[in-house]
Amino acid sequence: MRESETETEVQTQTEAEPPEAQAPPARRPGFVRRLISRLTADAEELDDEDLKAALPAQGATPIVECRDREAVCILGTLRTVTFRPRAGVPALQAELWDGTGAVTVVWLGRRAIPGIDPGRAVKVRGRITVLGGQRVIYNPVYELRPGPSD
Amino acid sequence: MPIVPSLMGMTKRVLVGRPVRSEMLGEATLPKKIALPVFASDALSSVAYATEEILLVLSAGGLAMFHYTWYIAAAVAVLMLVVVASYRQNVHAYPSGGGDYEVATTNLGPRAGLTVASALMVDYTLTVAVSTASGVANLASAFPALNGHVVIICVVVIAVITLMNLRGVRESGAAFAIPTYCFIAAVVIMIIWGVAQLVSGHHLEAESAHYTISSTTSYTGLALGFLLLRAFASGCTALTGVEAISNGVPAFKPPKSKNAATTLALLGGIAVAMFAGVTALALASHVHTAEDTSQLVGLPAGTTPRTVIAQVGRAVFGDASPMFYLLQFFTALILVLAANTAFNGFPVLASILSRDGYMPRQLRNRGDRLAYSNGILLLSVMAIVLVVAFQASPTRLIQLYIIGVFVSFVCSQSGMIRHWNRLLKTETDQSARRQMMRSRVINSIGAGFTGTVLVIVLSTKFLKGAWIVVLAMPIIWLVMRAIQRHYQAVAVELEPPADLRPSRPHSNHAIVLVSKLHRPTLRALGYAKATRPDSIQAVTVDIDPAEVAALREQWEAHEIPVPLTVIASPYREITRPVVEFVKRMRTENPDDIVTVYVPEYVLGHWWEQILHNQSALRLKGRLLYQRGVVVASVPYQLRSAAPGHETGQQKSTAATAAAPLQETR
Repeated sequence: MRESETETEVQTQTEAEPPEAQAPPARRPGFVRRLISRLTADAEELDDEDLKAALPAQGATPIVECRDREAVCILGTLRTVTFRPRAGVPALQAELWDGTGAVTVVWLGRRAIPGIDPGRAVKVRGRITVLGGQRVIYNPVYELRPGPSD
Repeated sequence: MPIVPSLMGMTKRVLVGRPVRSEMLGEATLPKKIALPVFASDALSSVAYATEEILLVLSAGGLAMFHYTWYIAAAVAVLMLVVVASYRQNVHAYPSGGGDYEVATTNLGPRAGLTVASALMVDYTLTVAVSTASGVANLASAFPALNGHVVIICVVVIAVITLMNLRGVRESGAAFAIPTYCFIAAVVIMIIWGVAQLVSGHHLEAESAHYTISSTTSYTGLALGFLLLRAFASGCTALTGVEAISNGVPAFKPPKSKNAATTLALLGGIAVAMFAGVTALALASHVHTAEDTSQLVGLPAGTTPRTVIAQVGRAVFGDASPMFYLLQFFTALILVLAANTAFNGFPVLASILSRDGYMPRQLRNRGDRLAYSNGILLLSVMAIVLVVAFQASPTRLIQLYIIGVFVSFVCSQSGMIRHWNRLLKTETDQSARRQMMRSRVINSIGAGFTGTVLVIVLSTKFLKGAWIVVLAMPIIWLVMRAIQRHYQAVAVELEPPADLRPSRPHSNHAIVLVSKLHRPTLRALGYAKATRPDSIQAVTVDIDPAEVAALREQWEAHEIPVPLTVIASPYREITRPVVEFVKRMRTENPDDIVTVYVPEYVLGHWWEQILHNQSALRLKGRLLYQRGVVVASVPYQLRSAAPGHETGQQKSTAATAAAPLQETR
């Protein structure tokens, strides 16, 4: 994770100049405060920060900013993967988290997809819908990303 | 075999005895001749040390001071009679046995009641400490070899009394009657024998009669007055225990109030007579003693002077006569019994306080033998701490004593004045009014006397150690208030809505925690389905990918009809990912209930539990704090924990009681 992270951060500074410039400078707190928050925050919070930081470089939309029926590209990690029982309609369901929000991704007609495992970093493209208050993407195009261990 | 629980059980059975059924709790009523010793042992036992305390204080001024003893003893006797007369009014007006706490609460408000309660609690503890210390001191007077081990003997005595009370010795009046009557008889014989000797021209001489007391300071004027007041304050220890009867009115045979009042009068008469007799003999036989043994000139170095009653006994009966040893034995015994009265009073007071929400609920429960076990244990622990801290020295402990008693005297007597005022407002019958006015006068005198004495006691003893009590009482008071506030806050929160209709959750989502496909998991899955939830899913945490893959394969192969969700756990935790997962389900549907089914296997032996991790226990603990989450524990009893195995029924309860420490993985 650390290595790929530093890479993306470097890219952030070079390629994604416009969003950086647009962001108000007040967003960055002082060094001491950042240090303290980095020391006091738990591992999950730090991971979320890393996930969020990686978004602009890959051209991904933060999930909270996705609107209904919009074609989006989302980058995040799979928090859970649910395998349906044999008896029902085959479908693979997973929860994708990008540090800002969660979206349910569903692949219809598949029981399992190699590489779609919990903890995996993926980039998905598809049309987002809101079902019962939950964001869902059906049959997205997916791209397995190098995980922290790969 | 759980050796530890059964050993504990056996020890308890041997020490405490078989549990007693609740129906056995009948208020055994006592005739006067039994009630007197049961309730009076505390008050009578103070005869054993009251005289001594007066002499000890006076000794600071040298031998010349001892001629004041008479006046002080007379003042104490008068005070005793006044207090007894006042309490006779209490007994008639409040026959329910609530004692001073009830009187103060109803007439002066709950704050005053709490003051009385904290004062009494301090004093009950001190009664145990002072009586035991003094009883052991008397024993050591008979057998000087014991002098070096006083503290240990005291602790053992308190422990034995505690055990007796845990067994429920309260009901057996005879156990009290015989030693108390023997003590009264021994003292009365000593007084009569001593007076007879004096009348017949014999000269009584105590062993300490030839000692002189070296006094560095001479007391005149104000200092003399202060010393006399201090001696008086010490002598007031004779008054403790008078209130015991007013707490025990329900235990009397009917007519309860009348019998209690008569017993109180008897107690007053006997106590005053004995106190006066012992003091007179002590003066006649020239008993010399001093607070600081180095002041006693003539005392063999390294020895502890005998107690005053022991010296008088030796002077009257002769040095090694059997009567002397009998007197010492019964003195020690009645002092132990006096400690025991506190064991009757304190737990009852604590249970009343806990009923009113001022003390933890546990103090309200009766134990196996229908005694208030927790109160008894609490009192015993506090008394032991006091005895150890003060090296079992009666003289030092007595400095803390009787402040609490006088605080409660003053509160209850002024409460009684209010009580009569209130009744007089509505009473029209002339003879009843006269009666009430007479009672009011008596209680007013009582309040005045005890109030004055309280001031004297406080001012003379404050620097000598009474400050500890003055500090402890408000602390206990505040703690009890805090406890009450807490209980009230909880009660307000638990208040049900007006219509008393349980609100139904919108829907119920079942989550079954799975680590492997084994019997407990299958049972939990089956049980979860049987509750007909709106949705069901099995959940496992991805810690070892190979294990998860194996689980998935099995899941597929056996066509288990429940979706299996795998939660990522990048930091190899079990508890947190599951809790977060459950939390997310909650935020999605705030009106819903999430039921988490935790399969666990129950182990029969405590040592087996060391071999299994406690993730289920930790998970349950964390999920308890989540709103709208129900944790259902689905136990699977292993053969070692199954009933019928080896020791049968009793063991299986022991196994389930010892928090099952099973695992989900």
